[in-house]
Amino acid sequence: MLDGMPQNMTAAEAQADGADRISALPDGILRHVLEFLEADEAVRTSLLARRWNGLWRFMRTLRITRSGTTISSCRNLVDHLLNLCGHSTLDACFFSFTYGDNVSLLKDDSLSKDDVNCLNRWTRYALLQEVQLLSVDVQRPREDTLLLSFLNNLRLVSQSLIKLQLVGVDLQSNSLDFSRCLALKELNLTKCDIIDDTDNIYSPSLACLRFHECGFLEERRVRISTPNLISLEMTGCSGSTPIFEYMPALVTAIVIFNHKSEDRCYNGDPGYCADDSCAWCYGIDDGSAGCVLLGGLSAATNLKLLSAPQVFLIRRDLRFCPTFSKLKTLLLNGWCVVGEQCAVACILQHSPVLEELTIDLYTEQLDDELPEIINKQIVPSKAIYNYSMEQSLTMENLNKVEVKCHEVNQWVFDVTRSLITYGIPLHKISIEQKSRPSECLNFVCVGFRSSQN
Amino acid sequence: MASAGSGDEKAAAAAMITLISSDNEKFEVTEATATLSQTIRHMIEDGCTDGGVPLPNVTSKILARVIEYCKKHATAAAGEEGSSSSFSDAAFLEVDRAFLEELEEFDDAFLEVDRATLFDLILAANYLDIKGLLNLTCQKVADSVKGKTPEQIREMYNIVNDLTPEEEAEIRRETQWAFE
Repeated sequence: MLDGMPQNMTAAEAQADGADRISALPDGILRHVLEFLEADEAVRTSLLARRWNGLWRFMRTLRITRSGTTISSCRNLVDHLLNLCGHSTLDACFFSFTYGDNVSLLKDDSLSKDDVNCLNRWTRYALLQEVQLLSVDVQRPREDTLLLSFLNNLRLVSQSLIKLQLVGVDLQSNSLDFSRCLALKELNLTKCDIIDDTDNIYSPSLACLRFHECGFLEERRVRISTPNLISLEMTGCSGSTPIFEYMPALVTAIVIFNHKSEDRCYNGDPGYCADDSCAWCYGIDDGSAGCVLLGGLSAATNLKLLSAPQVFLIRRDLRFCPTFSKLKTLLLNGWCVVGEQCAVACILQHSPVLEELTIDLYTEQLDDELPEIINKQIVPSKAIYNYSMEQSLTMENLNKVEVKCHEVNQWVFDVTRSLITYGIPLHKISIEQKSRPSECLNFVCVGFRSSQN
Repeated sequence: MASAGSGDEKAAAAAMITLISSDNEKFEVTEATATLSQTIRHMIEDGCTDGGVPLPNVTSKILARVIEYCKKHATAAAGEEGSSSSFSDAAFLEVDRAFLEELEEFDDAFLEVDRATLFDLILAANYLDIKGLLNLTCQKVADSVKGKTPEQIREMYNIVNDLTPEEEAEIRRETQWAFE
């Protein structure tokens, strides 16, 4: 009787108690359910009943996640899957491997060349099967330094790839040339190292680019050329900040430099220090290149520029400060009030249509050392911003300036007062104390009334 | 130009669509909510929504739930568009995160349904072509079978094993690489 049961049961039959509703789902939906399972688990559903036998062959998403075992130990599984699912194209492929998680029973739980070859072979195979979303995630301990050269540094060629997510792999010149991936819109790189001979990262089609905790070269700057980018995020990266070429379509950029950035002076100077032999200020870049970062971002509508105060890259770029002709919303943190010359004034002068400015003086992990730096007698900086005192600021569109702080002290008061000297009317400035917002507003009103007397 | 754009959006938001369930109950929803369904979006584009959209495959009980989902996610979609073009709050990342968390909580609560309802939602999401809802519900089913033996899965979903021992042995042999 069960053998004769039609695959498309009527609603009444399906709703009867004890009915097998899952097997009654159309093939397309069952396939979709299988696509959320680990690939081997999906294959094993063949054992449930005849209805399920071989359904996995039509999956267009493959998920392989392993921890405590080597990549090459999945060779048999993945090789079979990529061959047997090969009748149709793939939508998405997720490879995720974790090494050295202390759960492992293996003696030698570190990446081998064999593992790298396996991974790259599968990646190529997925690309051949016209995969649209490819995710390769390899977590391993810092001590494990074996090169995991993505695609063995071969150039990516795909008409289908839309989104590429890479974690923990090494990339270099060819694997960062996306000129033959014209469908590629989104590139997310996390904990990836950009190595060796890399000069350029190039993609004519990319709309969204994220670097998170990536390592750039220390000795020179890589050039990033992504002329159609709309959204950029670069957070917590180490090495020398890459040079960004102009991105006319850019809307939003979030840049966070933490203590890992090499673009800082160990004399604690905010720009080009007095010590001509300082390798960090003068060694790799004498400033002749012009803007590193800000020039590329100058078309953005929304900018979030956060930096540990020791990292001087943004202040360095202010020497060549471009005009932010479309900038409407700007978020800065403590770096912008360090030093003699005020970076804020410089940026304001170059942002004719800015509507909202927020200065967050208490950004976690970035502004922790700020009070010490402010209090320390700093060496007079050679950094000269592209800013003229004579030229007044036109801020017709600026309607909200917010200063966020931990506690309202003399220093916050000074910052606020200098904002007023730039011509920002008092009523547009608000101070938010992160812990007690209501009290601090009071403080400001009282404070300024007395200062005006 | 910006003001003209927002005017159009307001006009679109005000446009109402009537959805009619299989048991003839009528639901008035905004176009923004309705167009989360690609099926309805195409009907609107073809101009065949006057007098209501009959949905003979969806009961009023399920349609009400589907609309609840679409309403929530339509505001999310609008919020996302807003944040990418011009976020009014400079601390946009924090806002996005809070909003995503809220949406996740909504989805979790939304999935607190009995199995029959879950399958009805899957079929409705498939018929109406609502990608987010289909993913959400299929993921829920997948999660429920994760890590279970075939026997446990059969029991959970009333699946009758109609494989002969020979067939089962054959499948194991063919896909032996998935059992390693």
